[in-house]
Amino acid sequence: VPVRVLRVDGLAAEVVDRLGQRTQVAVDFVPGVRPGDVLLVHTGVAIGRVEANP
Amino acid sequence: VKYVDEFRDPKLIAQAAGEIRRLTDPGRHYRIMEVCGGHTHAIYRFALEDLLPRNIELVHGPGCPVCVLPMGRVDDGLSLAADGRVTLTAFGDMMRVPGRNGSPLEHQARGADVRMVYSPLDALKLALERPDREVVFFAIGFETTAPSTALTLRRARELGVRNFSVFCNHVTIVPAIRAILDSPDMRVEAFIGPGHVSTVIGCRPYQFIARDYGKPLVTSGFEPLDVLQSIVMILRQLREGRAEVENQYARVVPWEGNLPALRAMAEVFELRPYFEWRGLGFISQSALKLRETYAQWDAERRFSMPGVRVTDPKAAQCGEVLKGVLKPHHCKLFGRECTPEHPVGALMVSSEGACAAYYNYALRKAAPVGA
Repeated sequence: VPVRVLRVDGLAAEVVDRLGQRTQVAVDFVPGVRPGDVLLVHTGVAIGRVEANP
Repeated sequence: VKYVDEFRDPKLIAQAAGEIRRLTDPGRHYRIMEVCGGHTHAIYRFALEDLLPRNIELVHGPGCPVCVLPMGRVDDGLSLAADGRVTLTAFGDMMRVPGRNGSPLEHQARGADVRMVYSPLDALKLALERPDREVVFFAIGFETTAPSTALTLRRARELGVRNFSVFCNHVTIVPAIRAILDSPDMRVEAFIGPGHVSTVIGCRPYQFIARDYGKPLVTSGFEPLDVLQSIVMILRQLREGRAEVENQYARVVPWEGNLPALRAMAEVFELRPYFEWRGLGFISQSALKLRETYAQWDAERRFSMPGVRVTDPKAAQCGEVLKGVLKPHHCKLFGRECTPEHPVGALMVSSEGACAAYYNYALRKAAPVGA
């Protein structure tokens, strides 16, 4: 399920899912991530970015 | 929410279902394999089979990590927990997978230090908090999960953590698909390709399926409309006599995959010469182990493990179900001895397992024989 980035702090980001739950995830594999980006997270690590217009 | 709700829109779903009906040749039987357990789950959760013509048969593939792990490896992992110094950590899915003498959860109930973690990074954190314990992470999963283990090992190395190691059971999806294609009892005309694995590995590794085996593969998302659109794309290919790798899930899956994740995996892991899969047997170069440079964090080198092969309970037919030869409810144990509350086989444990998906969402249709 995609999550939205709220804050980025180095290689960690706070994200919120569609139920409003907030968690910390590692963003080592999505360089240049910014608040507002939508990420695909698996076992605590972002493995991809959801693109609005692929 | 964007990216979810529009892919559950009933109007669009009805349109896609109509398109599928138009593209289906009534005189032909279609066998389409969804490789990934996430798709199996979505297909039953949203009752997507009810929207398909009867001559489209969806065959469930091997893409459920806990399902394909042979019992011997579960027992090997659990043997570590017998060591009083060890804290064994595992994902929630793994906690209920039966070993010969019970699941990790049952071992925990008997006093072993077994803990559930959401991420391997949590296991590393536990090792940092508890320098008096040997924390082992029981790693399972395909290329979706392997990057998080690779990242954790990288961090362990950077931080010089000495009381952390990984029991690596990561597997790779492409050799399993090849094994299925080469299996004599397997007739599949096309594949719904795994979405999240492909986020990491991209679409290029599947090209041999189209080129050498002449079968279409469409990488798919996990919402109802995603799966139906992928079936539309497959049917168009079959109708036009094409066999190509196409990407329905382009909003998430880049054609080249996730390069930083692939680099981390290449740095930490190398291929094992062979690995045993439940139902599929030994498959060459189908699993990952830690590289020599990470030997210090490799539980298999740090601890001695029995390494025995354990056959599944005789009555359970997990292997046949995994290969798509049998449907879950054709197994003699389905819904009787084997339920999500008391799983005998791993396919009943994970939400991505075909048996659990049938049991939870399609039980009325898939009532056990004689029930």
